[in-house]
Amino acid sequence: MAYNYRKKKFYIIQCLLGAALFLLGLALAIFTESQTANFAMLLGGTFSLTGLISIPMMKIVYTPEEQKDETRKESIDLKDERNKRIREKSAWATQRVMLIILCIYVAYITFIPPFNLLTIILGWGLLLANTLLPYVYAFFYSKQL
Amino acid sequence: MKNNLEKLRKKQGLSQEELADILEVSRQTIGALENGRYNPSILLAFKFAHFFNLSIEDLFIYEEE
Repeated sequence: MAYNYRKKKFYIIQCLLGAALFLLGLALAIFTESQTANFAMLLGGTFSLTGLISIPMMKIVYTPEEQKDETRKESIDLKDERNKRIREKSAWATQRVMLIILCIYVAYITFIPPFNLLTIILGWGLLLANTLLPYVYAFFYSKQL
Repeated sequence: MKNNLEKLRKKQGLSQEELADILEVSRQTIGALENGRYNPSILLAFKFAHFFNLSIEDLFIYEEE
């Protein structure tokens, strides 16, 4: 019960934080004209995503007793080892496709005008993260498993 | 890897859905296992063995490729 209460509080805070940051990003993008506004918008958008992700989680926490059986089935599906393996394989395939798409995108924004330094930096940052993160996680999991 | 899951499940009079519910796996996993499309982890193999009160070797038959 206490665990559920903590989870509820966490999801509410996450949702509110996501919404607040999204509004902040939006307000900065509308009322200022600097490039910082674009960055703030991006930041707000990213955090609002965490809020959006928390909505289905809240659904699980707030489910009434009569729907618990359905929730249990959903939870079993989520934890099922075959489904986990399917997700891992799809994630790996998606990562490889995304890497190719990002390479094309970064080459496009870097070599074809008009050039925008902030967009180029963000693009390269994304490419770097997409390339390096699998190695970082592989290193982490090689110690764990 | 072959297995006797379907035979044993039917012997117990259980549907795939019921067995999946008892062992807390998805019904699709039971189907994939019975068809030999999916090889279970050692943990799941033990779960099955415990449920049917058999050893893993009696349940899953290893075939060298």
